[in-house]
Amino acid sequence: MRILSRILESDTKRNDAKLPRILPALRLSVVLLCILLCALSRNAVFVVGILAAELARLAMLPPQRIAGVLGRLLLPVLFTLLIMLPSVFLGHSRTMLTVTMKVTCSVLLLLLANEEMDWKDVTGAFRTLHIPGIFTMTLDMTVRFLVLLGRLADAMLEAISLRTFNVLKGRKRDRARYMTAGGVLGTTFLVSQRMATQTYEAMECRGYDGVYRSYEKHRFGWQDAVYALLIPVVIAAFIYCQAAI
Amino acid sequence: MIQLKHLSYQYPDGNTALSDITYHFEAGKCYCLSGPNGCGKSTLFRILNGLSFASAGSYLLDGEDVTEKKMRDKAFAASLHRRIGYIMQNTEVQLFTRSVEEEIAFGLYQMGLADEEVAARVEKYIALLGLESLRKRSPFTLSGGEKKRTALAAILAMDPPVLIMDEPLSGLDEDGQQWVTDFIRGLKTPDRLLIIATHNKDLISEIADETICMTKEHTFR
Amino acid sequence: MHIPDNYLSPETCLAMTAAMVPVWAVSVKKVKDALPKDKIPKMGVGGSFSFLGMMFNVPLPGGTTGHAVGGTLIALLLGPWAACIAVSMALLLQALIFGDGGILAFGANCFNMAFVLPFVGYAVTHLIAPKFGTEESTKKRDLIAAGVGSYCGLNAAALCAAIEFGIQPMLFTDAAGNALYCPYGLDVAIPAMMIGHLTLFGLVEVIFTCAILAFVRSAAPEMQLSHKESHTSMPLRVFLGALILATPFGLLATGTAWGEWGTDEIAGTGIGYTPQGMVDGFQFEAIIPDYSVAGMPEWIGYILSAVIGAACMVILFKLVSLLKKGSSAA
Repeated sequence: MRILSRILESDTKRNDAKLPRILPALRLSVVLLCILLCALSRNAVFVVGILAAELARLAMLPPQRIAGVLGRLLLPVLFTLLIMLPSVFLGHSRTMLTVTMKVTCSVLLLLLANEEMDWKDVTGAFRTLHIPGIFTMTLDMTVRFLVLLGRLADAMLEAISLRTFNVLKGRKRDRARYMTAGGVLGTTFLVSQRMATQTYEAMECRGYDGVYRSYEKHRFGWQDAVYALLIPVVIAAFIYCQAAI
Repeated sequence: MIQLKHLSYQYPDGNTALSDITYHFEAGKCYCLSGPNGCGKSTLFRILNGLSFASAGSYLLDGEDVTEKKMRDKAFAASLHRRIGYIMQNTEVQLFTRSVEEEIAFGLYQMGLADEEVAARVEKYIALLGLESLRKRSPFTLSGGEKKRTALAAILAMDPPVLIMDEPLSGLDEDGQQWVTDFIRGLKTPDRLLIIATHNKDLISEIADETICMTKEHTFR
Repeated sequence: MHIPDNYLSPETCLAMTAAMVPVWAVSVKKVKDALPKDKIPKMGVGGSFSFLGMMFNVPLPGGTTGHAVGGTLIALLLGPWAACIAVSMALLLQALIFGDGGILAFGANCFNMAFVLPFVGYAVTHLIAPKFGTEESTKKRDLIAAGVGSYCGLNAAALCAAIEFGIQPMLFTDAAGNALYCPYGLDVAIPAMMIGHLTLFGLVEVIFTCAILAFVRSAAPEMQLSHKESHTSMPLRVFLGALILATPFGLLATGTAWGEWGTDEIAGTGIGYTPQGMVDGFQFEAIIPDYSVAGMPEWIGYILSAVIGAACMVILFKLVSLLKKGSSAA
């Protein structure tokens, strides 16, 4: 349900944004480029630079969002530290720091991109990047069915809770639980089948011929041009950092 | 425009959904279909949209016979779907893209229109149906009335000469129902055929040119 | 004025830290009670100013360098208790990540720069301009008062640091009579520190304080406690950005500040030997030592350090503001 509420919340939030938006495809490309170069970097120099930029961006978010991002950053970083711990005993403590810093950087890049784009922007970006429409459609449908079926399951569970009185004990209670779980899952599955068929028929009625096109109205403005300059700048910085060592 | 000749439909298990229906729907008129639950309205609509096919009898659209074999031809199917717009009863399944804008643009892209034309029509129907503040929202986050308006915009943007609506007032509050009723009234033009399934007597009295009752025996009265 | 590790004996460090604990406790309580939730991130901005100010090294003839601290500035904008916390955080960041200022000496550094400096500065300013910040006082009077206050604050802090340095050879010597820690007594330490601070560094602090205060008053009033609005305005952001970009000028001043020499440098300062406490003492390897990253030209490392430091300060205090319960402006 948390995922559902996040999807729904991001939907209304996006509508209120008054900032001029950068072309999502461009933003996605820059993020992926930075992650790739961070991974390829043979030393910590380039990574520190990217980290500094990301920290600056993080600092500009409101407090709640900062806490959210850092909370989600914690697990990957701790996990990496744990995995890299043996390198300290082997005498390569710098390696542990470098790898952890790279992981921190990459995850932070993704988390910050996630803060500024929602799933619709990402799937919309696929069209600009000439990725086949089938992927976009699959992703869109997945989110949609997640929400619709999630709501259905939630409603069913609510109905069940209204009909249970916690008087059963032991084996009877377990059996009842399995039955209700099976019922909810089974019904959700059957409904999902029906909805899939109906969705396909709706698409057919609107003339779907197998090609899924996206509607993208973004006009390439000066903000996009400036942002696009980041690509050669980042690549140049990377080459410089690699050559300098 | 649409002609049904002794149309019958039977389910695989033998139950009858439609029994010997003969009718002529003319352009420029609004037909309201009413009847008890299970009398076969939805099945009829499915046949009209080319989603199901009659067990017996024939269905002619603009003089052309619509059969399963013909519908396998992509070009014919495309032309049929372009001519018939279908607003389903459950709009939840009818809206399947990620934003209201996309929803309206979808059919227009499938029609093969140029980008500028698509953009122009999207803007026109967003304005017409009052969807300006909702344009980037996902359809599954909208309220019942908003979904209905989105579905209407998506179908009307394709400008179909035949419009079939299955229970257009279901799930709407009083204001929503009044709004849809007024809107449908505005849709009546000399070259458009409207076929509406509804139980709502007010709607029937306000907009119907002809009323058809479907019986429990799955025929027209 | 950052005292490195091994210049003060562990006993001194302990004493100074013990003295700071109640100060920190009271500061936290005061800030929690008095500062509204949406002003807490402003402490992060204030801390950033302090952090960045300390990166601008100014050279003194004779070979040492010094820098502004900005503690009085924050005290005048957000109150002395908030200033104590903000400067403490800046010093913590500098010690842990950049190796500027010792870890064990943290308590002493905070005592000087986060306690003495802002409180003396605040008191002197309000003594001169009792109606500071209100409509009844004039801008000119406020700025003069702030200038004098920050000057006094900085020098008071420098005096404390000099005393802390100077008593080391008196109290802590080895069997041969050589000092274990800071080898310069009060007769050397006080003049050495004060000359620089009474003249050049005091001036830098005054300019830093007055310039930013004037700027905040006109272009970024949300920094002040009295102001209702709390969204960080564009002028403030631009100003921070400009400061960050200007930090490499701090590199132009070569030479180490008095009392901040490394273990390898101290013998060459005239003492002739390296105090044993420094050789055997506590060593800490910072992540980005001396604000430079290996392999990059120094000025790039400096700017990156400035960005990281300023960003961390702002993030830190924004997170702190979440801990405070109660309403907040959007």
